[in-house]
Amino acid sequence: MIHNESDSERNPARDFATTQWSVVLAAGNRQDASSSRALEQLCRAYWPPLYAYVRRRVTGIHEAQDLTQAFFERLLEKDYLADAAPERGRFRAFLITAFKHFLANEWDRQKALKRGGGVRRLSLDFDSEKVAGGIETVDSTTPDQIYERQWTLTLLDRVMQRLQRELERAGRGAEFSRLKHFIIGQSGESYARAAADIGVSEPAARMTASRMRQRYRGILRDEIAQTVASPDDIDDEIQHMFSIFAN
Amino acid sequence: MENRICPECGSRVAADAPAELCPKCLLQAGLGNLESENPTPDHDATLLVEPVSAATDETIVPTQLDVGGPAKVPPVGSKVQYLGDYELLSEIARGGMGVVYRARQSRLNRSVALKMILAGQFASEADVERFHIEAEAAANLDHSGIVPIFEVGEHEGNHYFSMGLVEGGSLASMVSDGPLPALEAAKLVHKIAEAIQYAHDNGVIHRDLKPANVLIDQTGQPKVTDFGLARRLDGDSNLTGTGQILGTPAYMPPEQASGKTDEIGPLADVYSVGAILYCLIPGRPPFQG
Repeated sequence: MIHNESDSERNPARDFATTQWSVVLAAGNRQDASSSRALEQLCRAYWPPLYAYVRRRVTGIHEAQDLTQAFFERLLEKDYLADAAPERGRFRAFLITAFKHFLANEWDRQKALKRGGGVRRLSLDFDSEKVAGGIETVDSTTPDQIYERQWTLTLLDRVMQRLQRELERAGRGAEFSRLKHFIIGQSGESYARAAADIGVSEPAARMTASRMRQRYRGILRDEIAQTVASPDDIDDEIQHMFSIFAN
Repeated sequence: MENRICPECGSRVAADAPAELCPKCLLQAGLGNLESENPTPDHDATLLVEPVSAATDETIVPTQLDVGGPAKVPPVGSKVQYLGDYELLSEIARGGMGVVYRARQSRLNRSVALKMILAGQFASEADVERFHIEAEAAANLDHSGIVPIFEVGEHEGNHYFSMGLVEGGSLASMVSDGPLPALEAAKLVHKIAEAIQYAHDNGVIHRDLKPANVLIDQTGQPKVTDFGLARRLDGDSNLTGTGQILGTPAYMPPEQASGKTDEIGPLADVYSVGAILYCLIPGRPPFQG
């Protein structure tokens, strides 16, 4: 999977207005280089949910891959932003709406086109275990539910990988591995044992876990911020994703 | 693909789950009580949890919460802001009286915490005097269990002081994870008590001891901070002699909570240390108002 470090990852203190989706929306139909780059980065990050969606809609794997690839080529080449205006608030909603539009109206025509020859292509890793596994394990849900579920997993995966990279850069990768479970709680786990494993005192292990949890929350909010138009939407997005798994 | 059961919620967790953690519980943690690890208007400014990778400036995250108050303090963000010799890097915490920044002291090229009075140049004389009492009291203390004060100053009407930057969180955030084992709690409180005894021996009482005012450094050692209400035992300040209640009720002795400020002495801190010990074991203070 491709991971792009956003501006906010390098400097999270920057204004919300610089997040990727807000940059795309601000450019509107007159996309410039920065908004095109922001859109491409979002597409690179969040294509697995669409692929999961279309895998449920069509029977052939290769057909699903072709559709996904073709959609993104189309998205990056043509103005889909205006078409999805009512859903522009959140990239998650925009993406699935635009994809449905593509499947309903343009796929047949798109199939007839010979791709390549200057068309911008995204390099999508369809063989990724994350993508394949996420689809195969969900077999009783609708395509829309699969999309929402895979979206959430993709986002959480990005969050945890960012957190892990930050710790590894600080030379604390072992602490991440041993203490990451404390981000969600401590059932069945003992701080004393974890502290002994990494050679620190129990208070130090507790503090590191507490800091990891806080940093996790910060990264989660930052990643969501990249996909919504307003900071007011962040909590709603978390609630929405939680409801998917709570049900 | 093999699934396992989440020990927290009992849900099935796929082997390829994010970092092998339950997505539902991760989102629950994301919804978690941010306020519990950030300052609220009820807390005095306190150094809070820094990002775990805070060794580099590029990962500094200012607190999400802005509890309001007069906007008379320098903003931090994409623009470099200086306050005297200090480059303000991020806002760490904001409380009823002050804002704490992570800052870099240019001349000495060191990272510090810089606390500035919220009301800036429009602060009352009493606010300014209390602020300087805090700095003066703490600046005279030199103990491994107390956050050191480096410098007290004023810049364009903004009163501030710089202090040691503790790369850790507070005892409050630690206990928010759950009660501590009794032995660990006793060891921590023993060290806190030694620091407070040292302060008392030097004529300084804290008067607002609580878990949020005890920082835990990266080695797990406690350091007392925020002598925001401290006064010298031999001082003649009458700043709080009007019956005004200052402090955090859950950790106050009865005489302080009832506003009998003339009766507040070193024993007030002793009471608070006991209340902290109590809090660490069941995870809540002895009295909750």
